[in-house]
Amino acid sequence: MEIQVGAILLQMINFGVVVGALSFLLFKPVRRILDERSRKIEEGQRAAEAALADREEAESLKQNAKRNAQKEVKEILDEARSDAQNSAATILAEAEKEAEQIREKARQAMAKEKDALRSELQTQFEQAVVDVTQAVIGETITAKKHQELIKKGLQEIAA
Amino acid sequence: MTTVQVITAIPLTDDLRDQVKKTVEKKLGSKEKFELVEEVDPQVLGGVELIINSVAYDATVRRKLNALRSQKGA
Repeated sequence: MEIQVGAILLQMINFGVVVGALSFLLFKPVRRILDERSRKIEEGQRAAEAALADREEAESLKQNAKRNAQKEVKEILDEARSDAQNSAATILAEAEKEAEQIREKARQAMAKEKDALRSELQTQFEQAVVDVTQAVIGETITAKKHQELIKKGLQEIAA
Repeated sequence: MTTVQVITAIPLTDDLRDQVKKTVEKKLGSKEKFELVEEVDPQVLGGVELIINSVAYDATVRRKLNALRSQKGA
């Protein structure tokens, strides 16, 4: 078999031309397309990351706003409860004071009535005792006489 | 504290109550503390009866009438 150097050289040149043509016509556009695609992907990724960051920030802002709103609601409720408790305590204290005044008036009226009744009963009772004693011992006896009898009795006991 | 029962036919006045206290102090001694329990009993008719430590000091008209009745009966 004979080696044909000229054919080999021709083939090599031919290969080089094909490679050069392919490189110019195919590889470069393909690489450009791939680079473009990579760039787009990177941009998309950056955009997605930015969107994610924005979303996280928005979520964070939302949580903060929610916490602030809850805190504010709690403060308002606490204040309202405190006001309500203060109002209730005031109303209760006033009611108790009023009830105590009514009770005191009733006590005073009852005590007055009781004293008047006791005084009347005592007078009636003393008279009844005087009447009974008079009837028993057959002698006129007054309340003053009764008091004298008691004093005399005490002197006898002390002696 | 000693409880002293005071029985009279009519309720005690403040003046009489003071005299009862003086009489009881004489009986018990001024240092002895006591409490008066007042009882009104028309049946004693008059006078006063003191019951101090279960001892009765009876100066009532009823006792005197009973004594007279006993003497008459005897």
